[in-house]
Amino acid sequence: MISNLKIGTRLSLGFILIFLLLTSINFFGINRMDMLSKQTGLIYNHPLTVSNAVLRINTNLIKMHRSMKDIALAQDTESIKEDSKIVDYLEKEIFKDFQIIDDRFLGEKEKYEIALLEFTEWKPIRDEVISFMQEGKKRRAADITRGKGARHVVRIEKAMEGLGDFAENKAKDFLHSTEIMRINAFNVMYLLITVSIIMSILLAFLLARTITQPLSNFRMATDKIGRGQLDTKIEINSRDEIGELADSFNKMTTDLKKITASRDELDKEILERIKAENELALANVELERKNRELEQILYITSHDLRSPLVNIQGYSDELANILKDIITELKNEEITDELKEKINTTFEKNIKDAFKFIQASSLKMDSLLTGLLQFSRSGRAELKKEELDVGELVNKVIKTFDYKINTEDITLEIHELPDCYGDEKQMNQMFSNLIANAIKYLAPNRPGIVKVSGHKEDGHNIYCVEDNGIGINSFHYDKIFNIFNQLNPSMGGEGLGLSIVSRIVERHNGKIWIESVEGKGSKFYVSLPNS
Amino acid sequence: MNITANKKTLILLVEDDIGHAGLITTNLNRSSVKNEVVHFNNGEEVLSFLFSSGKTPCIENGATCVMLLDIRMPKVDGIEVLRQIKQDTLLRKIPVIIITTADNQDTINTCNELGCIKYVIKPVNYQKFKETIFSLGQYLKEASLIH
Repeated sequence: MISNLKIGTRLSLGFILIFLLLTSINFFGINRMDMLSKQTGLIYNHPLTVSNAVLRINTNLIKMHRSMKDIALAQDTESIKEDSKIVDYLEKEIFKDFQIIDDRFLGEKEKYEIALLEFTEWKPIRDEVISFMQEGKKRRAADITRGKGARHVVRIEKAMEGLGDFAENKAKDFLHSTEIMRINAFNVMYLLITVSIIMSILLAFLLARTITQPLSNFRMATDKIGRGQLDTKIEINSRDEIGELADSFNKMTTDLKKITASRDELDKEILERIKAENELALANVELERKNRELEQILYITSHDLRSPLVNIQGYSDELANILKDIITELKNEEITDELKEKINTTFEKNIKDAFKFIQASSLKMDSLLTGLLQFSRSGRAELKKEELDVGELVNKVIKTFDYKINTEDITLEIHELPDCYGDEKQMNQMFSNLIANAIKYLAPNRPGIVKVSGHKEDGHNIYCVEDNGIGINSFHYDKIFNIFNQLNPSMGGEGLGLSIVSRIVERHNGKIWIESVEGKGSKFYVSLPNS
Repeated sequence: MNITANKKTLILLVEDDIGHAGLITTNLNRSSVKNEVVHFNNGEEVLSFLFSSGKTPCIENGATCVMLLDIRMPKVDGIEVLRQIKQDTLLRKIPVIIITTADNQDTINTCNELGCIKYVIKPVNYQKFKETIFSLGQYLKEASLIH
């Protein structure tokens, strides 16, 4: 195929082809010009020289005839001789011209031969006249000249006329054919030029295509490779420069692929390591946070558990002291009114107070331990996450508050809630605690409104439990989720509800936050991931 | 709270547990500290007392005070109370003694840094509790914190 030729060779071939085409047109033109000039030469050489010769012969014939008449009319031999010389001269001239005609006449030879014969046959008649004149028989000579001679001359002239006509026609014929040849030559030239222009354009186009087509394929392939599709092979099988370039390019792509593959692997490995390190760091941070939280819980718990113990210890000891005092007094002294009064006060005030503190503290202890257990459970219980109908779940939760809602002036609004993905028990606990909290801290001086709403946002479900209660100062925002933290211990409870909610939200990879205006109400937001 | 015309040092006891407050007061009496003890249930109460109308009642009225401060309390805890007092140019003169069940070193360090003059841990064992409060009373007197 042509595509297997080198581009240089291809271009040279194309140029040579175009050059050959043009040269052949030139040669053709030169050839035609040559032919035309030859034709013109022919016209000149043949019919024209022939007709000129005929004309000269005719003139010389007339001259000869006149000379013959002069001879016939001559008075002396001297004149006869002179005129005879002229006749001979003219005869020679005529023969010369006949020779030209013989050489160049293109018509039938017979016509020429007849003319020549007629002319040759005139000679005996002229000789007869001359000999009669020399003999002095003037009358006879004149008769022959006027009669037989003149008639013969007419016959010669007729024969010559045939020849002249033919030559003239022949010249016209030549001219005509020259004209045709000229027109043909021009037509052929035009045709050839047109054809060669078309062929040159076609050739140039095809040649260019054989170069640009693979280059364009090449460019498309390199674009693909540039975009990272290193599997792309450049499909150019020609054995020209582009083919060679494609081969080395393909080799380069393969090498590049190998390098890229190993680099990619390295990158991947590095990325994985970085990821693992990040995860580890995150896990460490989380672990540290958990540890701190656990420490905090332990610290708080130990503190809070110790407090009731101080009371129990203290007041039971005080009680023992009081009893010891009373017993001592009773032993040593008579029971005076003063002593009665003293013992009475001790029983009424000190002993009663001591018992009150001891009982309250042991109850507090129990309450704290129960809360601690609950908190611990909320963190340890296995999660069974599933798709939950939160609307249904919240409706179940609020049933447990029916009594409070009906007996106190509380309005509960449940809006449409998006489904969530979570553990049913824990979600139940979460909403239960939030709603209980809202109800618990409603403002006593106005009708309570508790609103539960929710919406979806960026792959998260956001729920909001809102109340028009006493609100929380922003100063306390970060403390309210802490374990055993109560802003108002007189309201009862252990200060655990929000700690448990916070822990549940955390275990569901969610977030909890609060917006509140003191004296107006609070909004507790919980955001849980969709899946 | 009748604190006017009393030039004796006032003891501000900030303690959320009434039982504890009672035991502390009783045992301070036993160490013959007879100064008036004013009890506050939490940090918020004592701060509003100290900062009420921008005045410092116990100092203005010619009385001096000493504060016995618990740490874990609802609303405003002891550390916050300590911080706020030590940030105030006048109130920072009030000697603050921490008296709490919390015994971890971090809390102790924080309180020392903030400027408490003594850190007392409430023992659960009542015998030790009595001894602790008794020596606290002695300390108050010896260090001339009360008169």
